[in-house]
Amino acid sequence: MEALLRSLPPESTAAVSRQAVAKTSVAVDDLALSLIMLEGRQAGRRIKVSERPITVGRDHHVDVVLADSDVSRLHCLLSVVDGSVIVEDLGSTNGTFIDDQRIDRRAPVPIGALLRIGEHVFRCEQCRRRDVDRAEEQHRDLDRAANYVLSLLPRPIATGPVRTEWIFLPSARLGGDAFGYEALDAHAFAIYLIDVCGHGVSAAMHSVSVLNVLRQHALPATDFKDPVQVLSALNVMFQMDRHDDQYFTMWYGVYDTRERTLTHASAGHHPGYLVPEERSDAQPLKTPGVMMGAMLDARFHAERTRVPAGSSLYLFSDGVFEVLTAERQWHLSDFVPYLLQPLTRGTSECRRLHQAVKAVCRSDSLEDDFSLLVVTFP
Amino acid sequence: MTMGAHIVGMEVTGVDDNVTKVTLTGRLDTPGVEDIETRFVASLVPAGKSAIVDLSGVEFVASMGIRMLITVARSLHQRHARLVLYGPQSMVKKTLETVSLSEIIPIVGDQAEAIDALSS
Repeated sequence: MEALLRSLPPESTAAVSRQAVAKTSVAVDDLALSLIMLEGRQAGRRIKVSERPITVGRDHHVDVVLADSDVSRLHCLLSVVDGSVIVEDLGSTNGTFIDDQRIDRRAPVPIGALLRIGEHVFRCEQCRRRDVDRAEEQHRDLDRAANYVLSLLPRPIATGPVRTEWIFLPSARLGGDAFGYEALDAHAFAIYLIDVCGHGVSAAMHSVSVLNVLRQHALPATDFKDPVQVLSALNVMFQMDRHDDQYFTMWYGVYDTRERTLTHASAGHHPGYLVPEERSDAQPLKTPGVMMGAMLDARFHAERTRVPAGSSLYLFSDGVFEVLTAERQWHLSDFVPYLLQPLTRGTSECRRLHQAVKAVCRSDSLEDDFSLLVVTFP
Repeated sequence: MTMGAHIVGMEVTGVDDNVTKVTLTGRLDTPGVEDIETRFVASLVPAGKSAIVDLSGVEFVASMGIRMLITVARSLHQRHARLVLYGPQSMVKKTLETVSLSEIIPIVGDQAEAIDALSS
Protein backbone atom coordinates (compact mmCIF):
# COMPACT_ATOMS: atom_id res chain seq x y z
CA MET A 1 0.00 0.00 0.00
CA GLU A 2 2.80 2.36 0.87
CA ALA A 3 4.40 1.79 -2.51
CA LEU A 4 1.04 2.22 -4.18
CA LEU A 5 0.43 5.50 -2.46
CA ARG A 6 3.90 6.70 -3.27
CA SER A 7 3.47 5.91 -6.94
CA LEU A 8 0.16 7.70 -7.26
CA PRO A 9 -0.14 11.41 -7.99
CA PRO A 10 -1.78 13.29 -5.10
CA GLU A 11 -5.20 13.35 -6.72
CA SER A 12 -5.15 9.60 -7.06
CA THR A 13 -4.81 9.14 -3.35
CA ALA A 14 -8.37 10.35 -3.10
CA ALA A 15 -9.45 7.31 -5.02
CA VAL A 16 -7.89 4.97 -2.54
CA SER A 17 -11.02 3.68 -0.95
CA ARG A 18 -11.27 2.19 2.44
CA GLN A 19 -12.08 -1.15 0.79
CA ALA A 20 -8.80 -1.01 -1.10
CA VAL A 21 -7.02 -0.22 2.11
CA ALA A 22 -8.57 -3.19 3.78
CA LYS A 23 -6.99 -5.48 1.17
CA THR A 24 -3.49 -4.34 2.01
CA SER A 25 -1.16 -5.02 4.85
CA VAL A 26 -1.18 -1.36 5.92
CA ALA A 27 -3.35 -0.85 8.94
CA VAL A 28 -6.16 1.62 8.62
CA ASP A 29 -4.68 3.31 11.66
CA ASP A 30 -1.73 4.36 9.49
CA LEU A 31 -4.03 6.36 7.24
CA ALA A 32 -5.58 9.72 7.95
CA LEU A 33 -8.32 11.75 6.39
CA SER A 34 -7.35 15.20 5.25
CA LEU A 35 -8.43 18.10 3.09
CA ILE A 36 -6.00 19.48 0.57
CA MET A 37 -6.56 23.05 -0.53
CA LEU A 38 -6.84 23.23 -4.33
CA GLU A 39 -7.87 26.88 -4.64
CA GLY A 40 -7.14 29.68 -2.24
CA ARG A 41 -4.22 31.70 -0.99
CA GLN A 42 -2.68 28.67 0.71
CA ALA A 43 -3.19 26.24 -2.18
CA GLY A 44 -1.35 23.02 -1.43
CA ARG A 45 -1.97 23.27 2.31
CA ARG A 46 -3.13 19.99 3.81
CA ILE A 47 -5.42 19.95 6.85
CA LYS A 48 -5.71 16.80 8.91
CA VAL A 49 -9.22 15.99 10.06
CA SER A 50 -9.75 13.75 13.05
CA GLU A 51 -12.38 12.88 15.62
CA ARG A 52 -11.57 16.14 17.42
CA PRO A 53 -13.66 18.84 15.70
CA ILE A 54 -11.80 21.80 14.20
CA THR A 55 -13.32 25.18 13.48
CA VAL A 56 -12.95 26.96 10.13
CA GLY A 57 -13.60 30.63 9.48
CA ARG A 58 -12.27 34.13 8.93
CA ASP A 59 -11.78 34.93 12.61
CA HIS A 60 -8.22 34.63 13.88
CA HIS A 61 -9.28 32.50 16.82
CA VAL A 62 -10.54 29.55 14.78
CA ASP A 63 -8.37 26.49 14.04
CA VAL A 64 -8.22 27.02 10.27
CA VAL A 65 -8.18 30.69 9.32
CA LEU A 66 -9.26 31.50 5.75
CA ALA A 67 -8.55 35.10 4.75
CA ASP A 68 -11.55 35.33 2.46
CA SER A 69 -14.33 37.92 2.64
CA ASP A 70 -16.85 35.26 1.50
CA VAL A 71 -16.06 33.16 4.55
CA SER A 72 -17.95 33.87 7.78
CA ARG A 73 -16.01 34.53 10.96
CA LEU A 74 -17.06 31.13 12.30
CA HIS A 75 -18.06 29.29 9.17
CA CYS A 76 -18.08 25.54 9.74
CA LEU A 77 -16.87 22.62 11.78
CA LEU A 78 -14.92 19.61 10.48
CA SER A 79 -14.54 16.28 12.17
CA VAL A 80 -14.33 12.56 11.50
CA VAL A 81 -17.35 10.51 12.54
CA ASP A 82 -17.52 6.79 11.85
CA GLY A 83 -14.60 6.99 9.45
CA SER A 84 -15.94 9.85 7.32
CA VAL A 85 -15.22 13.55 7.23
CA ILE A 86 -18.29 15.45 8.38
CA VAL A 87 -18.75 19.16 7.72
CA GLU A 88 -21.23 21.14 9.78
CA ASP A 89 -22.17 24.62 8.59
CA LEU A 90 -22.44 26.97 11.55
CA GLY A 91 -24.98 29.32 9.98
CA SER A 92 -22.54 30.90 7.52
CA THR A 93 -23.76 33.72 5.28
CA ASN A 94 -22.54 32.29 1.99
CA GLY A 95 -22.89 28.61 2.71
CA THR A 96 -20.77 25.49 2.49
CA PHE A 97 -20.76 23.37 -0.65
CA ILE A 98 -19.91 19.76 -1.44
CA ASP A 99 -19.46 19.12 -5.17
CA ASP A 100 -21.27 22.40 -5.89
CA GLN A 101 -24.32 21.46 -3.77
CA ARG A 102 -25.00 23.71 -0.80
CA ILE A 103 -25.38 21.59 2.31
CA ASP A 104 -28.29 22.01 4.67
CA ARG A 105 -26.44 21.91 7.93
CA ARG A 106 -24.40 18.77 8.29
CA ALA A 107 -23.15 16.40 5.62
CA PRO A 108 -20.42 13.83 4.98
CA VAL A 109 -17.59 14.76 2.61
CA PRO A 110 -16.78 11.61 0.62
CA ILE A 111 -13.18 10.87 -0.31
CA GLY A 112 -12.50 12.64 -3.60
CA ALA A 113 -15.33 15.15 -3.12
CA LEU A 114 -14.73 18.89 -3.40
CA LEU A 115 -15.58 21.05 -0.42
CA ARG A 116 -15.99 24.76 -1.13
CA ILE A 117 -15.91 27.40 1.60
CA GLY A 118 -16.03 30.92 0.15
CA GLU A 119 -13.44 31.03 -2.62
CA HIS A 120 -11.47 28.18 -1.06
CA VAL A 121 -11.80 24.71 -2.54
CA PHE A 122 -10.59 21.55 -0.80
CA ARG A 123 -10.53 17.92 -1.85
CA CYS A 124 -11.08 15.20 0.71
CA GLU A 125 -8.26 12.66 0.64
CA GLN A 126 -7.05 9.70 2.56
CA CYS A 127 -3.27 9.56 2.89
CA ARG A 128 -0.59 8.06 5.03
CA ARG A 129 -0.80 9.60 8.47
CA ARG A 130 2.89 10.47 8.54
CA ASP A 131 2.60 12.32 5.21
CA VAL A 132 -0.26 14.36 6.58
CA ASP A 133 1.67 15.05 9.78
CA ARG A 134 4.73 16.11 7.77
CA ALA A 135 2.63 18.44 5.60
CA GLU A 136 1.12 19.98 8.70
CA GLU A 137 4.56 20.49 10.21
CA GLN A 138 5.75 22.21 7.02
CA HIS A 139 2.68 24.39 7.14
CA ARG A 140 3.42 25.33 10.75
CA ASP A 141 7.02 26.19 9.78
CA LEU A 142 5.79 28.44 6.99
CA ASP A 143 3.29 29.98 9.38
CA ARG A 144 6.06 30.77 11.82
CA ALA A 145 8.12 32.30 9.02
CA ALA A 146 5.13 34.33 7.79
CA ASN A 147 4.49 35.55 11.34
CA TYR A 148 8.14 36.59 11.59
CA VAL A 149 7.81 38.66 8.39
CA LEU A 150 4.62 40.23 9.73
CA SER A 151 6.37 41.05 13.01
CA LEU A 152 8.90 43.13 11.09
CA LEU A 153 6.24 45.37 9.58
CA PRO A 154 5.49 48.53 11.54
CA ARG A 155 2.23 49.11 13.36
CA PRO A 156 -0.29 51.42 11.70
CA ILE A 157 -0.17 54.98 13.04
CA ALA A 158 -3.54 56.58 13.83
CA THR A 159 -2.50 59.95 15.25
CA GLY A 160 0.14 62.63 14.70
CA PRO A 161 1.54 64.43 11.64
CA VAL A 162 1.94 61.19 9.67
CA ARG A 163 -0.74 58.47 9.68
CA THR A 164 -0.44 55.07 8.11
CA GLU A 165 -2.46 52.03 7.24
CA TRP A 166 -1.53 49.00 5.16
CA ILE A 167 -2.54 45.66 3.80
CA PHE A 168 -0.04 42.84 3.29
CA LEU A 169 -1.26 39.68 1.56
CA PRO A 170 1.47 37.36 0.29
CA SER A 171 0.29 35.23 -2.63
CA ALA A 172 1.82 32.09 -1.19
CA ARG A 173 2.51 31.65 2.52
CA LEU A 174 5.46 33.98 2.05
CA GLY A 175 6.04 36.79 -0.39
CA GLY A 176 8.74 39.10 -1.64
CA ASP A 177 7.16 42.38 -0.62
CA ALA A 178 8.08 44.40 2.44
CA PHE A 179 7.69 47.96 3.60
CA GLY A 180 8.45 50.14 6.55
CA TYR A 181 8.42 53.62 7.98
CA GLU A 182 9.95 55.33 10.98
CA ALA A 183 10.72 58.72 12.45
CA LEU A 184 14.40 59.46 11.80
CA ASP A 185 14.29 62.48 14.10
CA ALA A 186 11.71 65.01 15.31
CA HIS A 187 11.05 66.29 11.78
CA ALA A 188 12.07 63.56 9.33
CA PHE A 189 9.94 60.51 8.64
CA ALA A 190 11.23 57.76 6.31
CA ILE A 191 8.82 55.65 4.22
CA TYR A 192 9.79 52.78 1.91
CA LEU A 193 8.50 49.77 0.03
CA ILE A 194 10.47 46.97 -1.61
CA ASP A 195 9.32 44.30 -4.05
CA VAL A 196 11.63 41.34 -4.65
CA CYS A 197 11.19 39.62 -8.02
CA GLY A 198 9.02 36.53 -7.75
CA HIS A 199 7.46 35.27 -4.55
CA GLY A 200 7.74 32.36 -2.16
CA VAL A 201 10.34 31.46 0.41
CA SER A 202 13.49 32.69 -1.36
CA ALA A 203 11.90 36.05 -2.25
CA ALA A 204 10.71 36.40 1.35
CA MET A 205 14.18 35.66 2.72
CA HIS A 206 15.64 38.31 0.46
CA SER A 207 13.04 40.92 1.38
CA VAL A 208 13.57 40.20 5.08
CA SER A 209 17.33 40.68 4.67
CA VAL A 210 16.79 44.07 3.05
CA LEU A 211 14.14 45.04 5.57
CA ASN A 212 16.40 44.22 8.51
CA VAL A 213 19.24 46.26 7.04
CA LEU A 214 16.88 49.22 6.78
CA ARG A 215 15.39 48.74 10.23
CA GLN A 216 18.82 48.49 11.84
CA HIS A 217 20.29 51.32 9.74
CA ALA A 218 23.02 48.84 8.87
CA LEU A 219 24.34 50.68 5.84
CA PRO A 220 27.87 52.02 6.21
CA ALA A 221 28.34 55.79 6.09
CA THR A 222 24.79 56.40 4.96
CA ASP A 223 22.52 59.29 5.86
CA PHE A 224 19.03 57.77 6.03
CA LYS A 225 17.52 61.18 5.34
CA ASP A 226 19.09 61.05 1.89
CA PRO A 227 17.16 58.66 -0.42
CA VAL A 228 19.96 58.55 -2.99
CA GLN A 229 22.49 57.49 -0.38
CA VAL A 230 20.17 54.78 0.92
CA LEU A 231 19.41 53.34 -2.53
CA SER A 232 23.05 53.51 -3.61
CA ALA A 233 24.29 51.70 -0.50
CA LEU A 234 21.60 49.02 -0.72
CA ASN A 235 22.38 48.48 -4.38
CA VAL A 236 26.02 47.79 -3.60
CA MET A 237 25.13 45.50 -0.71
CA PHE A 238 22.54 43.43 -2.60
CA GLN A 239 24.11 42.75 -5.99
CA MET A 240 22.28 39.97 -7.82
CA ASP A 241 25.32 37.77 -8.38
CA ARG A 242 25.79 37.47 -4.63
CA HIS A 243 22.10 36.96 -3.89
CA ASP A 244 20.87 34.08 -6.03
CA ASP A 245 20.22 36.32 -9.04
CA GLN A 246 17.44 38.12 -7.20
CA TYR A 247 16.76 41.79 -7.71
CA PHE A 248 14.23 44.06 -6.10
CA THR A 249 12.57 47.35 -6.88
CA MET A 250 12.20 50.03 -4.26
CA TRP A 251 10.66 53.38 -3.47
CA TYR A 252 12.18 55.41 -0.61
CA GLY A 253 11.07 58.80 0.63
CA VAL A 254 11.66 61.11 3.59
CA TYR A 255 8.91 63.47 4.73
CA ASP A 256 9.93 66.74 6.38
CA THR A 257 7.16 67.63 8.81
CA ARG A 258 8.23 71.30 9.06
CA GLU A 259 8.61 71.96 5.37
CA ARG A 260 5.77 69.61 4.36
CA THR A 261 7.96 68.18 1.63
CA LEU A 262 8.64 64.64 0.54
CA THR A 263 12.09 63.87 -0.86
CA HIS A 264 11.95 60.58 -2.72
CA ALA A 265 13.90 58.32 -5.07
CA SER A 266 13.02 55.19 -7.05
CA ALA A 267 14.94 52.07 -7.99
CA GLY A 268 13.02 50.47 -10.82
CA HIS A 269 9.77 50.78 -8.93
CA HIS A 270 6.58 52.15 -10.47
CA PRO A 271 5.45 55.50 -9.06
CA GLY A 272 4.00 56.13 -5.66
CA TYR A 273 1.00 58.44 -5.96
CA LEU A 274 0.20 61.55 -3.96
CA VAL A 275 -3.53 62.20 -3.85
CA PRO A 276 -4.86 65.49 -2.44
CA GLU A 277 -7.69 65.50 0.06
CA GLU A 278 -10.20 66.56 -2.61
CA ARG A 279 -9.04 63.55 -4.70
CA SER A 280 -8.76 65.62 -7.85
CA ASP A 281 -5.65 63.92 -9.24
CA ALA A 282 -3.00 61.32 -8.50
CA GLN A 283 0.46 62.83 -8.78
CA PRO A 284 3.02 60.17 -9.75
CA LEU A 285 6.17 60.24 -7.65
CA LYS A 286 8.97 58.45 -9.45
CA THR A 287 12.53 59.22 -10.38
CA PRO A 288 14.75 57.45 -12.93
CA GLY A 289 16.71 54.53 -11.53
CA VAL A 290 17.43 50.93 -12.36
CA MET A 291 16.24 48.07 -10.15
CA MET A 292 18.40 47.16 -7.17
CA GLY A 293 21.21 44.67 -7.59
CA ALA A 294 21.45 44.62 -11.36
CA MET A 295 24.20 47.23 -11.87
CA LEU A 296 27.00 47.90 -9.42
CA ASP A 297 27.47 51.49 -10.56
CA ALA A 298 23.76 52.35 -10.85
CA ARG A 299 22.91 55.99 -10.24
CA PHE A 300 19.78 57.15 -8.48
CA HIS A 301 18.07 60.51 -8.40
CA ALA A 302 15.93 62.28 -5.82
CA GLU A 303 13.12 64.79 -6.21
CA ARG A 304 11.37 66.94 -3.66
CA THR A 305 7.60 67.30 -3.71
CA ARG A 306 5.34 69.65 -1.77
CA VAL A 307 2.76 67.76 0.31
CA PRO A 308 -0.59 69.57 0.69
CA ALA A 309 -2.44 69.19 4.01
CA GLY A 310 -4.75 66.20 3.99
CA SER A 311 -3.10 64.46 1.07
CA SER A 312 -2.26 60.76 1.02
CA LEU A 313 0.66 58.84 -0.42
CA TYR A 314 -0.08 55.44 -1.97
CA LEU A 315 2.76 52.93 -2.26
CA PHE A 316 2.13 49.43 -3.55
CA SER A 317 3.68 46.36 -5.12
CA ASP A 318 3.05 45.36 -8.73
CA GLY A 319 0.82 42.52 -7.54
CA VAL A 320 -1.81 45.15 -6.78
CA PHE A 321 -2.38 45.96 -10.45
CA GLU A 322 -0.85 43.14 -12.51
CA VAL A 323 -4.05 41.11 -12.46
CA LEU A 324 -6.22 39.52 -15.11
CA THR A 325 -9.82 40.57 -15.53
CA ALA A 326 -12.21 38.36 -17.46
CA GLU A 327 -11.24 40.20 -20.65
CA ARG A 328 -7.65 41.29 -20.38
CA GLN A 329 -4.44 41.98 -18.51
CA TRP A 330 -4.65 44.94 -16.16
CA HIS A 331 -1.85 47.49 -15.98
CA LEU A 332 -0.90 50.31 -13.64
CA SER A 333 -2.99 52.80 -15.62
CA ASP A 334 -6.07 50.67 -14.95
CA PHE A 335 -5.54 50.82 -11.19
CA VAL A 336 -4.66 54.48 -10.69
CA PRO A 337 -8.23 55.82 -11.28
CA TYR A 338 -9.36 53.78 -8.29
CA LEU A 339 -7.12 55.92 -6.09
CA LEU A 340 -9.32 58.91 -6.89
CA GLN A 341 -12.58 57.32 -5.89
CA PRO A 342 -14.14 58.58 -2.66
CA LEU A 343 -13.26 56.95 0.63
CA THR A 344 -15.78 54.43 1.92
CA ARG A 345 -17.16 55.15 5.36
CA GLY A 346 -16.46 52.30 7.75
CA THR A 347 -13.90 50.65 5.51
CA SER A 348 -10.19 51.29 5.60
CA GLU A 349 -8.72 52.76 2.43
CA CYS A 350 -6.51 49.69 1.93
CA ARG A 351 -9.46 47.36 2.24
CA ARG A 352 -11.51 49.50 -0.15
CA LEU A 353 -8.82 49.21 -2.80
CA HIS A 354 -8.25 45.51 -2.21
CA GLN A 355 -11.96 44.85 -2.60
CA ALA A 356 -12.05 47.00 -5.74
CA VAL A 357 -9.25 44.97 -7.34
CA LYS A 358 -10.79 41.70 -6.22
CA ALA A 359 -14.09 42.75 -7.76
CA VAL A 360 -12.63 43.27 -11.23
CA CYS A 361 -10.08 40.47 -11.42
CA ARG A 362 -10.67 36.81 -12.01
CA SER A 363 -10.82 34.72 -8.87
CA ASP A 364 -7.58 32.92 -9.74
CA SER A 365 -5.82 36.07 -10.83
CA LEU A 366 -4.41 37.55 -7.61
CA GLU A 367 -1.29 35.46 -8.12
CA ASP A 368 1.29 37.88 -6.84
CA ASP A 369 1.78 39.48 -3.45
CA PHE A 370 -0.65 42.29 -2.66
CA SER A 371 0.99 45.00 -0.56
CA LEU A 372 -0.44 48.48 -0.22
CA LEU A 373 0.68 51.23 2.12
CA VAL A 374 -1.29 54.46 2.52
CA VAL A 375 0.38 57.34 4.32
CA THR A 376 -1.75 60.37 5.13
CA PHE A 377 -0.36 63.81 5.99
CA PRO A 378 -3.08 65.73 7.92
CA MET B 1 -4.78 33.09 -26.47
CA THR B 2 -6.94 32.13 -23.54
CA MET B 3 -6.40 34.71 -20.85
CA GLY B 4 -4.15 33.43 -18.13
CA ALA B 5 -3.47 30.11 -19.81
CA HIS B 6 0.23 30.70 -19.23
CA ILE B 7 1.14 29.92 -22.80
CA VAL B 8 4.64 30.96 -23.66
CA GLY B 9 6.62 30.13 -26.75
CA MET B 10 10.28 30.21 -27.69
CA GLU B 11 12.00 29.69 -31.01
CA VAL B 12 15.75 29.76 -31.56
CA THR B 13 17.27 30.51 -34.95
CA GLY B 14 20.67 31.64 -36.10
CA VAL B 15 21.12 35.04 -37.70
CA ASP B 16 24.67 34.14 -38.67
CA ASP B 17 27.62 32.26 -37.17
CA ASN B 18 28.07 34.86 -34.47
CA VAL B 19 24.53 35.85 -33.54
CA THR B 20 21.62 33.81 -32.18
CA LYS B 21 18.05 35.00 -32.48
CA VAL B 22 15.39 34.01 -29.99
CA THR B 23 11.73 34.73 -30.57
CA LEU B 24 9.61 34.77 -27.42
CA THR B 25 5.82 34.79 -27.44
CA GLY B 26 3.03 34.81 -24.88
CA ARG B 27 3.19 35.70 -21.22
CA LEU B 28 6.51 36.02 -19.45
CA ASP B 29 4.94 35.67 -16.02
CA THR B 30 6.08 33.25 -13.33
CA PRO B 31 4.54 30.10 -14.87
CA GLY B 32 5.68 31.16 -18.35
CA VAL B 33 9.24 31.69 -17.17
CA GLU B 34 9.20 28.34 -15.37
CA ASP B 35 8.29 26.77 -18.73
CA ILE B 36 11.09 28.24 -20.78
CA GLU B 37 13.88 29.52 -18.53
CA THR B 38 16.04 26.40 -18.68
CA ARG B 39 15.78 26.24 -22.49
CA PHE B 40 16.34 29.98 -22.83
CA VAL B 41 19.50 29.93 -20.73
CA ALA B 42 20.76 26.70 -22.31
CA SER B 43 20.23 28.06 -25.81
CA LEU B 44 22.24 31.20 -25.22
CA VAL B 45 24.72 31.05 -22.39
CA PRO B 46 26.88 27.97 -23.11
CA ALA B 47 27.41 29.05 -26.73
CA GLY B 48 28.62 32.42 -25.50
CA LYS B 49 27.48 34.10 -28.73
CA SER B 50 25.74 37.44 -28.83
CA ALA B 51 21.98 37.20 -29.13
CA ILE B 52 18.98 39.24 -30.13
CA VAL B 53 15.56 38.59 -28.62
CA ASP B 54 12.36 39.36 -30.50
CA LEU B 55 9.80 40.47 -27.92
CA SER B 56 7.08 41.53 -30.37
CA GLY B 57 4.98 38.48 -29.55
CA VAL B 58 5.27 38.91 -25.78
CA GLU B 59 2.00 40.14 -24.31
CA PHE B 60 3.02 40.56 -20.69
CA VAL B 61 6.25 40.53 -18.74
CA ALA B 62 6.45 40.16 -14.96
CA SER B 63 9.42 40.48 -12.64
CA MET B 64 10.52 36.87 -13.15
CA GLY B 65 10.67 37.46 -16.90
CA ILE B 66 12.84 40.53 -16.39
CA ARG B 67 15.06 38.55 -14.05
CA MET B 68 15.52 35.84 -16.73
CA LEU B 69 16.59 38.43 -19.30
CA ILE B 70 19.02 40.14 -16.90
CA THR B 71 20.57 36.86 -15.81
CA VAL B 72 21.30 35.84 -19.38
CA ALA B 73 22.57 39.32 -20.31
CA ARG B 74 24.99 39.26 -17.38
CA SER B 75 26.17 35.74 -18.22
CA LEU B 76 26.79 36.70 -21.86
CA HIS B 77 28.59 39.84 -20.75
CA GLN B 78 30.99 37.68 -18.73
CA ARG B 79 31.66 35.78 -21.96
CA HIS B 80 32.28 39.03 -23.87
CA ALA B 81 29.00 38.68 -25.75
CA ARG B 82 25.88 40.85 -25.70
CA LEU B 83 22.13 40.53 -25.51
CA VAL B 84 19.82 42.99 -27.27
CA LEU B 85 16.02 43.06 -27.03
CA TYR B 86 13.77 44.40 -29.76
CA GLY B 87 10.19 45.11 -30.75
CA PRO B 88 8.33 45.09 -27.39
CA GLN B 89 4.62 45.91 -27.50
CA SER B 90 3.72 49.21 -25.86
CA MET B 91 2.66 47.86 -22.43
CA VAL B 92 5.65 45.52 -22.26
CA LYS B 93 7.88 48.43 -23.24
CA LYS B 94 6.37 50.50 -20.45
CA THR B 95 7.08 47.77 -17.90
CA LEU B 96 10.69 47.50 -19.08
CA GLU B 97 11.03 51.29 -18.91
CA THR B 98 9.72 51.36 -15.33
CA VAL B 99 12.62 49.20 -14.15
CA SER B 100 15.03 51.10 -16.44
CA LEU B 101 16.04 47.81 -18.05
CA SER B 102 17.58 49.63 -21.00
CA GLU B 103 20.40 50.73 -18.70
CA ILE B 104 21.41 47.06 -18.57
CA ILE B 105 20.17 45.61 -21.85
CA PRO B 106 19.72 47.63 -25.06
CA ILE B 107 16.09 47.70 -26.21
CA VAL B 108 15.48 48.76 -29.81
CA GLY B 109 12.66 48.77 -32.34
CA ASP B 110 13.41 46.05 -34.85
CA GLN B 111 15.80 43.29 -35.86
CA ALA B 112 18.03 45.50 -38.00
CA GLU B 113 18.50 47.93 -35.12
CA ALA B 114 19.18 45.01 -32.79
CA ILE B 115 21.97 43.71 -35.00
CA ASP B 116 23.37 47.24 -35.27
CA ALA B 117 23.26 47.56 -31.48
CA LEU B 118 25.35 44.41 -31.09
CA SER B 119 28.23 46.02 -32.90
CA SER B 120 27.91 49.49 -31.36
